[in-house]
Amino acid sequence: MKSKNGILWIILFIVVFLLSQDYLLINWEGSPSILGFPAWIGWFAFVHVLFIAVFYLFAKKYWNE
Amino acid sequence: MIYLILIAYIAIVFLGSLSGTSTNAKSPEGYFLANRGLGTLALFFTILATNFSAFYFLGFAGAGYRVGYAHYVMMALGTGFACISFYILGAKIWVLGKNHGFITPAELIYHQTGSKALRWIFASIMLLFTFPYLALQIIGAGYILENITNGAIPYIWGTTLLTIFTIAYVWIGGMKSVAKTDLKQGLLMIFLMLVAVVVISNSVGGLTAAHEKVYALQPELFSREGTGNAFPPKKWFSLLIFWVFCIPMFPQIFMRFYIAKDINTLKKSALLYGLIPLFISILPVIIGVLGHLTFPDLTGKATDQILPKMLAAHSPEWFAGLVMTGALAAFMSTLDSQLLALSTIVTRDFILPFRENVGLEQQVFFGRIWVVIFAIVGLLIAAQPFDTIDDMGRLSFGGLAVLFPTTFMTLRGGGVAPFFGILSIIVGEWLLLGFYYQKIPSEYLFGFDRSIIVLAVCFGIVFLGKLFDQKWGIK
Repeated sequence: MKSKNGILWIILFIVVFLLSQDYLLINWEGSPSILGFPAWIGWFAFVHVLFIAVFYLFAKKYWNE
Repeated sequence: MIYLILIAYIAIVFLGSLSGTSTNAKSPEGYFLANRGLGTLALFFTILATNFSAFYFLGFAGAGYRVGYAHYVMMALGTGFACISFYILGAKIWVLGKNHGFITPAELIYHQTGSKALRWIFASIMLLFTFPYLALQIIGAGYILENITNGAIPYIWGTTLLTIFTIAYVWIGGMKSVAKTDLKQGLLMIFLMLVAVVVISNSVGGLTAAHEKVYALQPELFSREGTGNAFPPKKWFSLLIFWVFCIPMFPQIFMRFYIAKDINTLKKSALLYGLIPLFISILPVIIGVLGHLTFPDLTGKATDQILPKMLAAHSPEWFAGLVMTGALAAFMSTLDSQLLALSTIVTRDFILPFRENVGLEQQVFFGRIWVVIFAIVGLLIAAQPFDTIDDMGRLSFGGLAVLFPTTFMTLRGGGVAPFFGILSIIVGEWLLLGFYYQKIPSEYLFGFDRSIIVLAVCFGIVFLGKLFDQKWGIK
C-alpha cells in the first residue's frame, strides 16, 4: 500500500469511527420509535453498515498485500 | 420432554460431528488445526460460535436487563470494528503460520523475536486470563440446566455434566470436530434466539406494546447512555475501540487465523464477522429489556438468569428446553475451543521445548490430557463464581488485550525488543488487576474504561522500546 493511499484509508476509517461517537453530533431522545426500539439504534445500524462497506472496499484492494 | 430434547440434540450435533474426524486427529496439525483446511463458512461459524458464548446468551441478556439497549450497540458495533484486526494481524498470522508451521500464538512470537522468556510469558498470560472466560461457559451451563429442569439437575451437577461431555468429544475429534460442531451450533443458535424473541414478545403483548410498557416503567433502558449513565462519552469511546485489540488475542481466535484454507477465506470470514453482530447481538438484549415486565426486581448475579427465566415464564416447556439446549451448545462450542487452544499451548510451548524427542502422536496425547486438567480447573472456578458473567468476562478480555501491543509491534511495527515486550505485558497486567481489585484509585482512569488506559500504557512501553532500539540499539 502506498503511504498516500494508506493515509486516506486511515482517515476514512477514523471518520467512520467518529460517526460512532454520536454525542459529538446529536443529543438523542430515548422514546420508543419503530417497533418500540429507540430511534438512535437506527443511527448505529447505519454506521455499522457504512463501516462494513468501507472495510469491504479496503479489503478488496489491499487484503493480499 | 426436556431430557429427550437434550439427548436428541447431543446425538444429532455432536456425534454427527465426530464422524470421520478421528483420521484427522493423529497429527498435531490435524488435531489442533484441522490441517489448515477450513473454508469460509466453516471458518466464520467456528469463529462466531467460539465468540458468542455464555457471555452472549446470558451476559448480553443480563446486561440488557441492567443497562438497556445501549449495551447492544456497544457490543454489536464494537465487535464489528474488530474485523479490522483480522486484516492488521490475522492475514499476517495466516501467512507466517503457513510458511513456518506454527500451531500456537507464542510459537510465532518466539520465531519473530527469538526470546524464550517473551514466549513463555505470552503463553502464560494466554493461559491465565482465558480461565475466567472458560469458567463462564461452565457457570452458564449450570444456570441453564438448573432452570430448565426446575432444579432437578442442581447447578453443580449441570456444570459437571457439561464439562464431562465437552471433554469427551474434544478428546476424540480435536479441532475438526470442534469446527464441524460450531457450524451446526452457530446456525441453530441464531435461529433459536430469533424464534425466542418472537415467542416472548408475543406473549407480553407484541414487541411495540411491550416496549412501551417497559419504557413507562424504566425509560433509562432506552437512553443512549444506558441505565445510570452506564456509557458516558469516554467510556463509550473506550468500549467501542477495545474489541479491536481484544478479540484477536483470545487464543482460540488467534489460532483460528492459522486454520483458514487460504487468505481469501480469511477475508470473507472477516467481512461476515464484522456484519453479523449487527443482527444477532440484539436478540438476547431484547429479552433482557422485556424481562422487566415479568421480573422487575432482579439485581446483581441474578440478572444473568433473566433469559432462562423469561423462557420458562413465556414459552411452552419443550420450546424453552430447545432454546436452552441451543444456549448450552453455544457454551460448549466456546469451551471446547478454549480447552483445545489451552492444551495446545501447554503441549507446544511448555512441554515440547524441554522434551524434543516427543513424537507427533505423543503431542496429541499430551494435548488430550491437558484438556481434562483445564476442564477440571474451569469446573473448580465455576463452583464458586467470583463475579457476574459480564464482569468475569471483562477481566478475562482485558488481560488478553494486554498482549496486543507486543503482537502488533512484532507483526506490523517492525519488531519489538523482547525486554520491552515483556515489560509492557507485566506492567499491563499489574495495572489491570490493580484497577479490577480497586488497589489503584479509579481517578487514574480519567473517566475511560480501565482496559483502554492499560492498553495506552502498554503501547507507550513498546513504542518507547522501539525508540530506544533505533536510537541506541538497546534491546
